[in-house]
Amino acid sequence: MTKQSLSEKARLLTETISKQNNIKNRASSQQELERLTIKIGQKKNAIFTFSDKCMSARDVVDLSFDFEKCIEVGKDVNEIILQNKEKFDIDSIFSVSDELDVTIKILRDAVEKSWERIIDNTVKNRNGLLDLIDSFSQVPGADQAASKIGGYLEEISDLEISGLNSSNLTKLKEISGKIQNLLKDLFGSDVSVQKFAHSIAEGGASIDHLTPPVLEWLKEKGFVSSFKIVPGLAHSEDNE
Amino acid sequence: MSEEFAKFLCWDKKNLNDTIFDDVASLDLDSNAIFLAAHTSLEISRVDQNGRESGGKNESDVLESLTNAIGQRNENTVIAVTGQSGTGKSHLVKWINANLPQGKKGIHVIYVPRELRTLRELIGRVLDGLPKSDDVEKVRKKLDKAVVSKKPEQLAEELLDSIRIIIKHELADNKAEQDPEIRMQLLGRTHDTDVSKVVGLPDFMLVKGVRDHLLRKDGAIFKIINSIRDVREGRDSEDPEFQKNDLKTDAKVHHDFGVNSDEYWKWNYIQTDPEWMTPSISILNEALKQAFYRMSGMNEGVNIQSVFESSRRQLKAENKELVLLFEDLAQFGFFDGEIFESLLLQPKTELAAIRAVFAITEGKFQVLPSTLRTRLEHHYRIDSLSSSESYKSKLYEFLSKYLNIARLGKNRIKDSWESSNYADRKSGKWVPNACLNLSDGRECPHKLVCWQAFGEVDDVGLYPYNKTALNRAINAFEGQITPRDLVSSTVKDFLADSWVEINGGSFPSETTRERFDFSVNASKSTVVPVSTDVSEDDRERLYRCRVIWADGVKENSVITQAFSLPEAKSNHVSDHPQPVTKDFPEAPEVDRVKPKADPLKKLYDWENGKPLPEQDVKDFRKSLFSIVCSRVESHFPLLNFQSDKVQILLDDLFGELSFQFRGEGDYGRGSAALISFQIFPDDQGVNMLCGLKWFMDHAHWDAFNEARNYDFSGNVYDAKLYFDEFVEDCTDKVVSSIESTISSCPIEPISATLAIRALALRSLGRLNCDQVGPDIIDEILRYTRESEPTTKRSEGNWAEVSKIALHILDRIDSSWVVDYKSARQGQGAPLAIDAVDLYPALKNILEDPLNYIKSEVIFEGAFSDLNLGTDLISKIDERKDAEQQDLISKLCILQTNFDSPNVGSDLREIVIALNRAKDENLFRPAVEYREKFIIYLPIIEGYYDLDVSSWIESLDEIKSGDVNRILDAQVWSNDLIQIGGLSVFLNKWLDGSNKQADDALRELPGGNIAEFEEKILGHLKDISGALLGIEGKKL
Repeated sequence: MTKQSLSEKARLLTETISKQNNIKNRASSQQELERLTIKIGQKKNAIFTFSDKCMSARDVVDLSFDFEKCIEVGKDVNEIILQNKEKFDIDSIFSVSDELDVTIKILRDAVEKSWERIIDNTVKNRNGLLDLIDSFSQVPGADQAASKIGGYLEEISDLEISGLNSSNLTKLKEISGKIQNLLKDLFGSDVSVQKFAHSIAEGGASIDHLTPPVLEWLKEKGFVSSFKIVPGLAHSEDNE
Repeated sequence: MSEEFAKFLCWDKKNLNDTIFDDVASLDLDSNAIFLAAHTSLEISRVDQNGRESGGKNESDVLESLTNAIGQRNENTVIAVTGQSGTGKSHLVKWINANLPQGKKGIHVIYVPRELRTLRELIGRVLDGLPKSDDVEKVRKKLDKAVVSKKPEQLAEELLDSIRIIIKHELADNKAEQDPEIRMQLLGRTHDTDVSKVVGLPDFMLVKGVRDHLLRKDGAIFKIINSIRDVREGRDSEDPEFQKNDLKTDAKVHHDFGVNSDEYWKWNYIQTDPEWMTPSISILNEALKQAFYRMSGMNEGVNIQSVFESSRRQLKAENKELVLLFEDLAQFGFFDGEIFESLLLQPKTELAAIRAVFAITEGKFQVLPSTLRTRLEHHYRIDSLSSSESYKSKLYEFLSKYLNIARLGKNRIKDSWESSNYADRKSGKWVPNACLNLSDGRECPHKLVCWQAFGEVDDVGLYPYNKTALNRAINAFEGQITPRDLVSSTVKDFLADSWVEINGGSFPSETTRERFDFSVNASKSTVVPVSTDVSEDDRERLYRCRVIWADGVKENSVITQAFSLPEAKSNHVSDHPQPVTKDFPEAPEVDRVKPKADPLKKLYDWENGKPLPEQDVKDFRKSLFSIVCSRVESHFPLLNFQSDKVQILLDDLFGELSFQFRGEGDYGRGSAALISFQIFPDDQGVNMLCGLKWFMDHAHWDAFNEARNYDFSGNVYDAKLYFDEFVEDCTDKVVSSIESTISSCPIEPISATLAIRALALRSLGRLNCDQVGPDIIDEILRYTRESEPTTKRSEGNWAEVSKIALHILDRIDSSWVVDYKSARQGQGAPLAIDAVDLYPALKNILEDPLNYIKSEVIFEGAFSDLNLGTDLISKIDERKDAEQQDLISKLCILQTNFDSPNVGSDLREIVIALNRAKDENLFRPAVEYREKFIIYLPIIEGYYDLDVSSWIESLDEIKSGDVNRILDAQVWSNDLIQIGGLSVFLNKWLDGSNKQADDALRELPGGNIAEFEEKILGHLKDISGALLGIEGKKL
């Protein structure tokens, strides 16, 4: 084996270092691509999720969101795909990635609004219900039903926070049915009774509200000794 | 002038022993007449209780103090007469005894003279003086039985045993100023009840070796025994007592003790440690007095004190007082306590009063018991005679009386005393005058000329003295004079010697001269110039006479005749300085303080046997050295005598100590290698030094110059001649010695210097010029040790060559050439170097370095450093083969390591590669980048322009083994070695870094970028589908 001179060894060292640097540069690009792939994949999943929810909600409520923007972005993405088929340009990917974020926000907002509307449509006047069960929770014979309705209303609030999905939508429908049944058991189907109950919930009913079906309902339910007549204006009269 | 006056002698040597007594204590008791004839009144002071002295007293005052007390008081009267040894204390007591009123009633006189020579005689005299009684006889017999009937050896043994018993059992445990612990150990006692026995002095006194030593004939114990039985030693001598040498035994005494035993170590302490030796001596002496007293039998029954008491009782009954006259109280020695007690015992009603006069030396007086000293009635002190002028007349009177009685003879004095009446005795007229009455009424026939030439005092002729001689005799005592000294030396011995010498024509001899102050203000050659008419012996005699009797000038002709001196017609003593001669250079006026004493007198004293003061010798040497040096310098114009190099050469040959002063005194000796110039206290030496001294003090030879510091007491011209001759002689010898030293070198030393430096520089690769001429000399001389930035070749086979070469550059610097071969103006810088004769040696060493100096060549003395050249050549010869192989090997490695002779270019490339490796964290070993690479980088960068073509080209020549080529290669050998060393590191770093780079390359990850690109595009496609799908769903 021929002995190398110092000069030869120096040259060899220089060449090895250059090679190594080249490899290092490529590895760096790959890592960046890997990170971008994951990121785009995540955005794709978000778009898929929110667009599916939107589609689901559309069956229940009317949705109004910026469809045009979403379509525009879809077109842009298509354009980028075409461009990068010839020569991959990572910068163009980064630019469309930002557009995807806008799209995701539009879809997320649409889903949240549609869910809120679905709940309100399913269980109407949740605030009035809360006042009614609050008033009747002190009335013997009505207190248990009032308490259950209160519990269902809390579950609905939790579903609202949890967001729209098929499971929550099913649960909402079930709870809504249960509330309707309990109200029907408590107040029946007579309208004057329901008015009287709402007046009581609003602060007091006037003598006029004491219709025969109301009196009948009071007796039937054993609420006669639960109410008293006091001078002053009833709540319903205040509003009049 | 009477012709018979020659060798005239008016005293008889045979009579001197009968008439002149230097110690009145030795005067026969029946020689009062002589004693009184010689008596001169003493200078006495009275000392009060506070020690204050009042002078102006004389012997009559002391006598009055004694006689006035007699019959007046019923208390003892004790009078002490003190003074230094020889001042006349015994004389005074003897005089008092002689002048006590004869037949005075009511007193009983005991006179104890000092001539009694044993203690036994002394006590016997006291006992004889006391009234006869049984007690007196008992004491006398007891003393005889104790000390006379026994042999001295027996007495010594008894005394030693007695001392031992007293130490063991009777001395107190403690004593002031002694360490109590050491004292107890020495007494052989202990307070510790657990310790059964302590070895002490009493035990050592039983050890044979110690005992024999204590009982040796010249030891303290035998001296004590002798003091009782035999003659006491000397006048005013101390009582014998134990001294250190009484306990300093031979080493073999230690053999009597077990090694490392208590006895062994304690005796060792006593022998060697003053803390043990001093109290040991003190304890022995403490016990001595008591032991002596016991040995004499005086400790029981009647004793001296009791016999004194009974005698006083007897005298009281006779209505008498006891008069005690002791010429020396201290001579009672071991019995003095008894005497003191008796003096202190007051008479009261039953005892006779004591009237005592005792003499004692000042020192012994101070150690008398305070009980006695404080009860003295009177204390008189006899002053020492002084040689000062105020005492001169007293001394003249004193000496003239002795001269007179020496001439009279004992019989004539005694006859005169016996035939004189009281009035003549009292007035002193009873003493005849030998000059005025030759016993037949005629005066001495020589009286007139004798008195004129020699002088007289109180009508007593001073012959053979005159007043000048007498003064010199007195001055010879240099300080305090005692009458005893005067009588002994100045009268008795002098008259005895001079009687013989005058009679024999040898007066005054050298022995006689020693009795006189011989200082004189003139050299011998001035006092008695050298003359062919007078023999050297007579010249010496004449010189002694002129100095002693005439203060250095010509003596009276009567003296010449009386002493049978030569009629030296050529004798010449000038009373004035000599006239200046015209060839003496004029000296500048100098304002000098005129000294009181003649500075040349010290030289005359030296000539007369007194040492020269050390400082004077130093000054003379310094001046002579300086003068001779300046003259030597003029012989060597190319030598720089101010330089260290030349000084070393000179110092090896010549120094201040080259001037060797002889005669009395030790003036030091220089190295045996120095040239020596003897200076004797003879005519030549004294005149030369007189000249030198004059020149040192005046810088000219004008003895009449008004600004002179003193008159030159002699002939300044003679002195100058002696001085010049001496200096020229010294100069010639020093010059010759320097020339001889230089010429004895095996090779001319300065050309050797240049050649050796050239070789040293070549050995270090520092000599570039190779053509002999001024340039190469300049280069060789310019180079200094400091020029060497780094120590070259400090390791390896050439290291020792380099070391010697550097040492040569240090030791043999350019100053060798500059100081030995430069022309200069005065003491200024060198103007030119005389180099032409240096070229041949230089050429030789450049052409044939190993053969320039042979190994057996040796330079000596100041040039011994040049032997370094031989060392260098030997070392080069020894190392050249190894160096050749080393150079070849390193050059071959260099060729392997680098692609081309342009090594600098390769080094640049290597450094760049290694720095890149460092940037990529590939430099290995990584730690060496900072620890070595960065440090070596400046050195490497220093070689960026290096081209080694010339090195490679010389490879074949080096292979040939030519030492000149090996020396030439030293110019670059250091670089070659350095690059070789650096190459080792560079190789290591390149290999390490290359391996690291390969490993790193292999470890880098693989992967497919296209795959990721495809995935991204797939995602985007899905996204696009989803978004556009929204549109479709909307539709």
